[in-house]
Amino acid sequence: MAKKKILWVEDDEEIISAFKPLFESKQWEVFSASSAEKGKAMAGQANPDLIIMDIIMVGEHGYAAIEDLKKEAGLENVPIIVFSGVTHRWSETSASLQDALVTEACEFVDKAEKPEVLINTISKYLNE
Amino acid sequence: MKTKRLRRKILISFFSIITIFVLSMAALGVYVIKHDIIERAQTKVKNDLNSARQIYREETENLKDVIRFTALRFFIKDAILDNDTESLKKQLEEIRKIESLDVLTLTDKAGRVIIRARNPSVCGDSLADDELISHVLSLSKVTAATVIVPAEELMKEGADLAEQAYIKFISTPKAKPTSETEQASGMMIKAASPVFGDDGSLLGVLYGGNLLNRNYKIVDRVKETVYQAAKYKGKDVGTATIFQGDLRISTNVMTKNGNRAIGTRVSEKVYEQVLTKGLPWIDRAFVVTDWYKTAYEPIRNIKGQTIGILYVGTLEKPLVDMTKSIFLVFLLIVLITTLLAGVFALILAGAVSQPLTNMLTATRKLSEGNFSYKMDIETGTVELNMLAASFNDMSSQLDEREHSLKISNEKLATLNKTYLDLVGFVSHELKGVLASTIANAYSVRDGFLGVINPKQCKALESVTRNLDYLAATVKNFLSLSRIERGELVPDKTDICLREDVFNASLDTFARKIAEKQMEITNNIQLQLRVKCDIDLLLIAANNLIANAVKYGFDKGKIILSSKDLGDKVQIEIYNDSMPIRDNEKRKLFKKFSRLDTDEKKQVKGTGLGLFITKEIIEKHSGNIWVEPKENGNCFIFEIEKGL
Repeated sequence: MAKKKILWVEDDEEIISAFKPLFESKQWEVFSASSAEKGKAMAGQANPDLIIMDIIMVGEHGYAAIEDLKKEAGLENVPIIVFSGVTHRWSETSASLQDALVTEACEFVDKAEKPEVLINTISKYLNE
Repeated sequence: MKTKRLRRKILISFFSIITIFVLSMAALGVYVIKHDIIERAQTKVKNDLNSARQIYREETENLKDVIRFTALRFFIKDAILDNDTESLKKQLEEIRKIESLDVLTLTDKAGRVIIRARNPSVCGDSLADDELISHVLSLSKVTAATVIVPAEELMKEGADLAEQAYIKFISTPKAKPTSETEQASGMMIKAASPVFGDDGSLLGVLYGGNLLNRNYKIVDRVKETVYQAAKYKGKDVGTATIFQGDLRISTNVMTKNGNRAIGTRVSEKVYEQVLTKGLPWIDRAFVVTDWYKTAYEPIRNIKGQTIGILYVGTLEKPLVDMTKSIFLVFLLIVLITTLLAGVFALILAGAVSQPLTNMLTATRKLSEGNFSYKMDIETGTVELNMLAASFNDMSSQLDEREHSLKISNEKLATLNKTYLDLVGFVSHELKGVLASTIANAYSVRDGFLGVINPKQCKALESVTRNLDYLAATVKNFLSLSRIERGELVPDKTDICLREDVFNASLDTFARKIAEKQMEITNNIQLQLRVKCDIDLLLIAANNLIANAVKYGFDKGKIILSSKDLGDKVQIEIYNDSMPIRDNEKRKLFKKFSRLDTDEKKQVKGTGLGLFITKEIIEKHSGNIWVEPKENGNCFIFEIEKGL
C-alpha cells in the first residue's frame, strides 16, 4: 500500500520535525511548506491525501490559503485539518474568520492538545 | 390611572374650582335676594301699614277737633236755650259744608235730635241708644270713633248718603262664602262732643261724621303719602283699602276694568286671622288681580270690637322683576368673572406647563446624549429658574463624566489591546512551542527515536506528564480569560453527547486511563442529543474526565451515565475516589480553589478546571454539583436540551 501523503503548511519547522517520527510510525509521508503561498504551490504538484494548515503565519494567513485551496480543481475533496494555537475568538476580527475556518476546514485541532489528538484526527480522515 | 396632559389637568381643576365658586355664589345670591330683599319688602309693608294707620287716626283726630271747637261756639248753646232751630239749621249747614262733613247733628241732653244739618226735615228721634252718643252723654267728653251706621240711620241723614253706602257684593274666588248679596249699612268715622251751658250744665251733644263707603280720601292719601302714587307698568305700586267687615268699601285697588274694586271681599284666610281672631296679617296675598306684599289690621269700634280692616299692599311684580334683574346682573357678573378666570387659567396653565414642556425637551435631549443643551434660566419664576439651573448643572456634570468616561474607555481599550496581545502570544507562541516539545517527548518516550532504557522511560514519563499539565494549564488560562471578558458565548449546534463529547474526551485521556488501569463504563445513551456549543462542552467534559482520572484510585471505576429529563439532560461522572467532605463541596467550584487534602495536594491542578466547567454549564442554562458516595464521588450536571 502506497504511503499516504500529508501536506503540512506550518512556518515553525520545529513542530513538523517533532511530529515526524510519530507520522513515520504511521507510515505517512509529510511534505512541509513554510508559508501559505508555498503550501498552495506544493498542493497543486504533490497531490496530497490530507492537508494540515497553521493559521498565524508570516505572510498570508492560513484561512485565506484554505479558501484558495478549496477552490482549486482536484483539491475540493482533500480534507484539511487546522492545527493552530488560535482556537477561539480572541479579537474582534478573528470572530468571523473562525466561523469561516469551521465551515471550510474539516476539523480543528488545538496545538495545546496531546499529540495523539492530531494523530487520531488524521487517522480518521485517512480512513485508517 | 388615566394619564392626562398637565395643561388639561390644571384647566380641569381650575374649572372645577370656578364651578364650585359660581354655584356657591349663586346659592348666596338666591339666599340674599330671598332673605334680604323679599323680607325687607315685607317689613316695609308693615311700616307702611303704620303710616296708613297714622293717616286714618289723623282723619279721626281732625274730625274730633272740628266737632270740639264747633261745640264751643256760643250760637249753639244760645240756640238750644232759645230753641232757635232756624238759626241752628242755617249755621250748622254752613259749618258742615265748610268742613265738608257728611253729617252734622245736634241732640238735646236726652239724646233726642234737635236738628240734622244735612236733612233738617227729620228730627225729634232719639239717639240715646247710639253707642257714641250714649258714651258722650254719660262721660261728657269729646269722643271720636269708627262706627257702623245702620241703613235706616243713613236714610235719616239723606237718601243720597244711604245710596252712597249701599254696596252690592262682587263675588271673588277666595272670599269667605256668604248667603248675603248686598250691604246697606255704612261705616263712618264719627266724633261727638258735649255742649255745655254757661253754668257748665250739659245742654246736648253735637256730632259729626264722614261716611267711609265710596269715600277715597284716606286711601288715596295713603297712596300719595306712602307710595308717592308710584306706578309700575300702569298699575299703582302701593294700594290701600278700608274694609267694612270683609267688604271693600274704600280702596284704590283696581279691577281688570280699571274701576275701584268696591264690593269685593277679603280672602277667607285673612278673614279668619283679622276679623275672627282680631290679629294683624302680614304676608303675600292675591288681591283682586295680582300678588301683593300685604299687611292687614283690624279697625275697631268704641267697644273694641273688630268692625273692619285697614289694608296696605305693595305690588309684588316690581319686586319679582327686580329680583329677576338682580339675578340676571349677578349671573352676568359671574359669567364675566368665569370667563376672565378661564382666560387666566389658560394663561396660568400655559405658564406652568410650558417650563415643564421645556424641561421635557431638555431631558429628552439629555437622554439622546446631547449634554451641551442648556435650559433658559430666566423663566420669570424663582423655582423654575432654580430647576433650570440645577438641570444645567446636572447636564454639565454629565458632560464632564461622559468626557472622563470616554478617556477611561480609551485607556481601557489600550489595556484590552495589551491583553489581547498577551492572549495572542500565549495562544500562538506558547502553544506552538508546547506542541513541538510534547511531540518530541512523546516520540522519545514511545521509542520512535530508538530504544530507551527503563530509567530514561520513567524520566520521560514525568516530562510528558508535566508537559500535559502545562498544556492543560494554558488551555484553562485561555478559557478563564474568555470567561472574564464575557466572551464565553455559546455557539450552539445539534450534537450527540456520547459520540461527539464524551467519547472524544475519553479518547484524549485513553493513555492515562490505561496507565492507571482504570475501568471505564460509558452508559450515556447514544440517542441523547442536545443543542450546545461543542467546543465549550468539550472543555467541560475534558475537565470532568481529567479530574475523574487524576483523582481516581488506580484500578478504580469510572462510570458515565445519563438521564433524559424531558427538557433537560442529566449527566453523571462517577469515579472511585476519596469522598469529598461536605464542607468542601462549595469550595470546589470556586476559582483557584483546591482541596486541602493530603492525597490531592500530591496531584497537580490549577484550581480552574471546575470553575470553568461550572461557567460553561451555566451558559447552557444548567447547573453542576457533586455528590460524594460511599467509595467515590459523583459529579452531576444538567443542561437544557434546547432542541
